[in-house]
Amino acid sequence: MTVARGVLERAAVAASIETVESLGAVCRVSSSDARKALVALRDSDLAVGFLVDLFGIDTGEAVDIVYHLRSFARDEELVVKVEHGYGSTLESVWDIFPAALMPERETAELFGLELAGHPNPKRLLTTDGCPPYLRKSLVVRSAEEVRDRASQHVDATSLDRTAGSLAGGFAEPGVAEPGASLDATPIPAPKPLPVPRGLKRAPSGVDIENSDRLVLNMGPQHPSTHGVLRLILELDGEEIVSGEAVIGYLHRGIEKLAESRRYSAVGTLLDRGDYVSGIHAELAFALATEKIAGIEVPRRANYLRCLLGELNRIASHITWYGPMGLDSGAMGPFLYTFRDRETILDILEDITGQRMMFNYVRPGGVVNDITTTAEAKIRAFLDEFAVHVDENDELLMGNEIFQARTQGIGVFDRETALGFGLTGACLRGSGVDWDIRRDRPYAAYDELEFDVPVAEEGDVYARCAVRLEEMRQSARMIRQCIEGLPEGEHTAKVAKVLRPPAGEAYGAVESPRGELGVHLVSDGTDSPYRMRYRPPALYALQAGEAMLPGLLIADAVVLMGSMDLILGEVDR
Amino acid sequence: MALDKLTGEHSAIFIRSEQLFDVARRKSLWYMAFGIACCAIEGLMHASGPKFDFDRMGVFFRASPRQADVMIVAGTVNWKMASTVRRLYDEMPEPKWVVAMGACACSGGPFREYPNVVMGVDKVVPVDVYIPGCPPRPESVQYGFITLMDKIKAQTGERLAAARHDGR
Repeated sequence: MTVARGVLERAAVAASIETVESLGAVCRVSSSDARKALVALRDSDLAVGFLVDLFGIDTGEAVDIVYHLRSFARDEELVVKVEHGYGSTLESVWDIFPAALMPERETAELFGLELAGHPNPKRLLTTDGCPPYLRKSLVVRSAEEVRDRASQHVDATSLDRTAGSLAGGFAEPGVAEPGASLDATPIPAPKPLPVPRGLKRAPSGVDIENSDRLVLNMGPQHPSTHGVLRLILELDGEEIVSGEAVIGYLHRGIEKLAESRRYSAVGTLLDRGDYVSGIHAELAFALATEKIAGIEVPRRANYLRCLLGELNRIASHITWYGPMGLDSGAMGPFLYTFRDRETILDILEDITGQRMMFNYVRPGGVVNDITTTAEAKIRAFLDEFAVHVDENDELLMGNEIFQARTQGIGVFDRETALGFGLTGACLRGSGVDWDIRRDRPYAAYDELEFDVPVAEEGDVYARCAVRLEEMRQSARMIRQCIEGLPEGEHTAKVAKVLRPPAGEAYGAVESPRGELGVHLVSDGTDSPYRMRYRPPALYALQAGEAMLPGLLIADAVVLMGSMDLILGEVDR
Repeated sequence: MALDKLTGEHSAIFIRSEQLFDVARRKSLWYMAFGIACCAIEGLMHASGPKFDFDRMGVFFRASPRQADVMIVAGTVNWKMASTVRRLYDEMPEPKWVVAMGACACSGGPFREYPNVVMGVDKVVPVDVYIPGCPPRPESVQYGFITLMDKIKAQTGERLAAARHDGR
């Protein structure tokens, strides 16, 4: 903290620094000094070269833009807050931290700011005419509106595909509705950010009517984009000249809706964010809440969290592994691995009552204790999985065609990976030895024994190898959890309607896709004031997007498959 | 085969071509590989996986809307997505059916309060079968398909009755 003060003083930046217990050092600088401060912090001996997250908080009078930075060298976190008035201009920092590219666009559109100095200042998640949803003055649909479903009128002509089609573009997407639910004092509508209308120009700016480039539109309905991702590829022959990822086809307001849910019910939304590994998102939220409220979690609950988390990690990696085979032309791995996923889902259903959407981890512990039948099922699963995982390893990783298609493709070196904010298996595939489970232990991970697989090559194959090894390590941890499960309560005594004191906290877990963080702001009421969900897949997507030029189309499919994107999490 | 058992050896049966086509349609409902959100994992991936194996009902996925009979809307539809859903529906050849899978596609589900979310896909395309659940289990989807088959059968009967009434 004192180092940060010294750095900022030397750079002649006026800053107020305070230490928030559950967050670390928080610097507040003025908006004109923001870029200067960030450059100084990055280049100083603090070496905060990693942008964990960038988001906004509506304080009621202005928008606080939060830059969450991390220094791997000093193992420290630093939060820089910059106040911006409504409708003011957000100065882009993408040349300082490339990871800010997509989060900046998202923040600008959802808080109604203008974006300056950005290479692609378009809307990211919504379409033209949408109000800034994350402003506090914009209230969501009321219960009456929801109940009266028939009143929502859709003009059939607005769905005609000739009427503004390519950008998924409604000029006025349901604008009557959000407009009706605004406060009496209308928000000055922000200048609409430009949205691509038609494809007169390719992403690189070339006039495609007069060139021999071809623009190929992959998605949002495409079998190998794993959800509703849309890639606009500009091709020269079969080679990609430039590419742009268009997202937002699954933007459904998880962050906004969390502001109107009680603490125990936010998990319901988070489950549906990263929908193949719900336990991890719930856990990140629970950790943040426990930090603010000061809840001590019983040891048994911590073990159960680890147990379920690791089971869920295997299930999630299988959902990546099967389709990864499909993307590279192999149908077999999908069928073989989904046996194991069915077994895991049976176990998870036994313990939590649901196959996918658990809402099992709550602030204070877990909902219910492990069932009597689960232990035998888990042991049987571990025995057969040990055989299956080796089988899968040979089936795909040992296949020459697969190796030829993945080795040396989509290489991220160390600096690129860190610069774009990659985390998880993608970062470890590039030779950075960083795992939150080991380096910032949460739940019971400090008591478990496991290895963190790291590969140096940084290509698609390396990321696959890391994930496969992670499955083996997860199986190892599950066995330890089952054998060392301590006696005791499965949850701490927590009020039914939890009202944590006002404060801020950041809880992060190592989800199958990387660092899944929840930045929580509480104002002392029974629902969060602001909940920011750090989506690891969004950062992976923008890194993949930057890697597209120069690849062949078939390689782009494999590259995107290896980033393990879950679009529910990318769009939230 | 099955017809022989009904009619005995060396016999002929008479069936309206309409009926024959509808038997074929019922038994080969190919759906479009078009997953939007969480429901796609349960309704498309697990459904075609080894345990539930919808192939044995003749339900199989096709990558292109031009080859598909059924669209499973598996997930939340928002305003950005709605035009694409409509466009894909328009691209499917007749006859075509739509299954709204899960709470989001039926009514907006847990996200219905967010103004960017369409409260039910039936605002955008006509829906034949609604499957409740969040997400529905693959068994529910299976039941949904059986219901759809029954519906197609009933529609054949209605059409034939109408044709008889017209004296055709």
